[in-house]
Amino acid sequence: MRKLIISLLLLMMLTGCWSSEELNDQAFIGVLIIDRNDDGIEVTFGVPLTTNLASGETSGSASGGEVFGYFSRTAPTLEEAMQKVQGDLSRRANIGQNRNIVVGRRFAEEGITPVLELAARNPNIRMNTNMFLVDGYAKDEVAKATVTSERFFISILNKYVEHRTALQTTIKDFMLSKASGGDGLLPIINFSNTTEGAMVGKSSTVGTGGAAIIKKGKLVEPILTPDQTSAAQSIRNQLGNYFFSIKSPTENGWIGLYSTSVDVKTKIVKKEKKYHILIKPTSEVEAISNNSTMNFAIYEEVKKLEDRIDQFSDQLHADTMLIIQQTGADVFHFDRYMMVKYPQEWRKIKDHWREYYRDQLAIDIDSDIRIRRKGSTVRSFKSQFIEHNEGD
Amino acid sequence: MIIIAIAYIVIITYEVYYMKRHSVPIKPYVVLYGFMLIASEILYYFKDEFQLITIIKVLFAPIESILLFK
Amino acid sequence: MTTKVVTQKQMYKYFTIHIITTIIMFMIGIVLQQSGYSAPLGVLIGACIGIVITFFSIAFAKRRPDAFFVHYGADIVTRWLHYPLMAFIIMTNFLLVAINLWEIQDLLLQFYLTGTPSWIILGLCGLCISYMARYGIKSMFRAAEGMFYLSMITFIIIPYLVHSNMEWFLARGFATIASVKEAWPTAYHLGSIFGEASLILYIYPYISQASYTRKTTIRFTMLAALMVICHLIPILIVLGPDLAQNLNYPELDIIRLIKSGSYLETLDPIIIALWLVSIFIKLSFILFVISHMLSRILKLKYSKPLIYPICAFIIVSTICLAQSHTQFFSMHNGGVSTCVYISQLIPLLYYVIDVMRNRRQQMEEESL
Repeated sequence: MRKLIISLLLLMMLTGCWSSEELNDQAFIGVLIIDRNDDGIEVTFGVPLTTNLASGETSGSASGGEVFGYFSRTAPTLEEAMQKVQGDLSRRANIGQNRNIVVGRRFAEEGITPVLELAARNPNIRMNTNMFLVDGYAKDEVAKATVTSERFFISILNKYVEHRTALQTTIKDFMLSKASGGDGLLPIINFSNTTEGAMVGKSSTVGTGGAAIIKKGKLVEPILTPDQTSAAQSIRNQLGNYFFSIKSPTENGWIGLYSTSVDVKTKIVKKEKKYHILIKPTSEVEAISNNSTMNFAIYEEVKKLEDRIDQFSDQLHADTMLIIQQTGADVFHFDRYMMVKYPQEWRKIKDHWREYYRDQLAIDIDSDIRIRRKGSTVRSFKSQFIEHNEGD
Repeated sequence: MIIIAIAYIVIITYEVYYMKRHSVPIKPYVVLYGFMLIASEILYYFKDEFQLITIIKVLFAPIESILLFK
Repeated sequence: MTTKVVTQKQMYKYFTIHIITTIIMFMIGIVLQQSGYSAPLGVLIGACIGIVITFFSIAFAKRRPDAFFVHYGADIVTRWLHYPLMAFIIMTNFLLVAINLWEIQDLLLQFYLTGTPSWIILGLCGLCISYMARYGIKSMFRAAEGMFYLSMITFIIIPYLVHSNMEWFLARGFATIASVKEAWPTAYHLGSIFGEASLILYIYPYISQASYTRKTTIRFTMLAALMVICHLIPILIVLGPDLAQNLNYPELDIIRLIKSGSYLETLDPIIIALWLVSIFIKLSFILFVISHMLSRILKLKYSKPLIYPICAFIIVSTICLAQSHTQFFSMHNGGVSTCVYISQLIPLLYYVIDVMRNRRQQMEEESL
């Protein structure tokens, strides 16, 4: 009798099965692509097609059918478009595993706020979803791109962020502060029209390039170049491997350098009634090529080279910051620094922070970059093997 | 409503069974169970018109707004 | 001797879990909305308020360490005053359990079990709670002893896992922006939760080595306050005050920002499962105290048969508590804390009257 009661009670453990959903009944969205066209907002769900994946094992996208499907529909609002797309899918769309949102240029120009609001309010969408921009019509570019180095397009996006190849902007980065809310940088995904490694009928491959400035949720010109994007990445403390070249201090020629990480410290100070943001990138770089006759053994020449590198870094960061500052978009959320250090003055300024940021905030860059290693050879190829007879 | 009644009847049967086994006087407990059953059914029947939170708000909100200096 | 079954260490572990579980999951959103950067200061002030309330209860309980308050209260103030006051305390504790159950089912339904009707979740929770309460006083404290280390590890590991997301310069705001005026609403609400330790009064005869109770109170309150602050500071530093104020459950969002390895990013169901066990322990203790008090007031010898029906009644009250999320949250500023404070300070009234009566008796004896 008692065993009967206990076993009946154990049936109540099945409350988890009341609203169960089978894995095979769900379509896990890999990437969400949003763009605007003349009829409204177009939402595209990028979904891995698991039935085709199961049959074709190692041969990628060739045999049998596509492994990644794009389903899209247009409607006046975002949610209505999502409902329409769900109407096309034979399985229930599950957005919980989504890590990437790609927006098109026209949608960004008219405001990405609907996406930010949806992602923040919906408990299923994570706040650290990465956002990307496509300079064009997002769905067409993404759908016809050839994915060569990975199996899926979403793997490429995830690896760009993981290996710090592209700038990482998440939904949370737009919401860090009220006074500069909606400001941020969106990394741009390029689709280059080459036929290297392309399949017949497909023409473009995926790459990174540049970043777009978003002010109050809307895209503003200009678009940053890849170099300036790297500077922006380093200010955000996200810069990983970076190759660059500096003109040699001794004579014509250049020296190739490589940094593995840049450590950036930011702080705000008050100098003569004006507020300065001090950005200090520090890094230790390696010399990877020397196309001049500079001798790394001579300390003064190395010092001159380091000064040049500092200048180069200062210049690059300052140019990037100038461009960004003139748009009035506080993409790095410097207002938080002011809020915690000078709260009384902050209270006076916070209502018109963006104007203050554009006109009165001074941003100083002070790089300190040292050459740590000079590579495997002692003298450069040029000076050892080509010009070894001086005065000849 | 039916589910509440069934749950209560199961509970009362179980408790009465155990009380009889341990020879505990049943009557006061059963009276109490009856009160609770009726109170539960009444609460459930009027759950759309009357929420319990209104009692708390009416009684304590003025005091709290004074104490919190609002 | 058989009545002194609860040791000081068990009490310490139980009450730490009791205080932490409610605050961390439910109150952090409200605390950040009301106080922002002053929240840690509010926690400390609330902890001090809680300690003061608990000390009053313990001092009162010490005067008669072997009798239950529900019995001798009728001798201190008259029966006509004692029973209504006890009824009020019982009602407040009903309310506490109902509020916590409502918040549990709201959290589970919104995030994990969409589509399940709420009465099933409540029924299963109620079954667990009443089953543990029915075993007697020992079961809750033993369960707390077991769950303590596991819960602590889970709570401590979360701030560590999100450390890569933290922007440390924001920590300066705790020194520059924090103010007592902003911290006061937090201190008020959290003081009522820290003061729930005054339930010690109702189980005082069961506690062994009762002379160390004060030290234990300070220790568990401080540990609980430390754990809450260890959660508040990372949330404020990772999300920033403006974003943290806007979220309903900042704790869950911060767990989803963990970057260290893909399997840890979906850690939140594990945390929820462990936390749910801890909060069941808390609710079963309050249920035990309610049934204990009710049986003593009605002069019934056994409190065990009352537990299941009381739990069923609480579940029905939870269903009828509020119709929507908005209505429920308007209650947080609408007086629950005041209600709980009043029920915690009622023993203080008894204490004062008891002291005055004793003095009058002593004066009469001296004059005789």
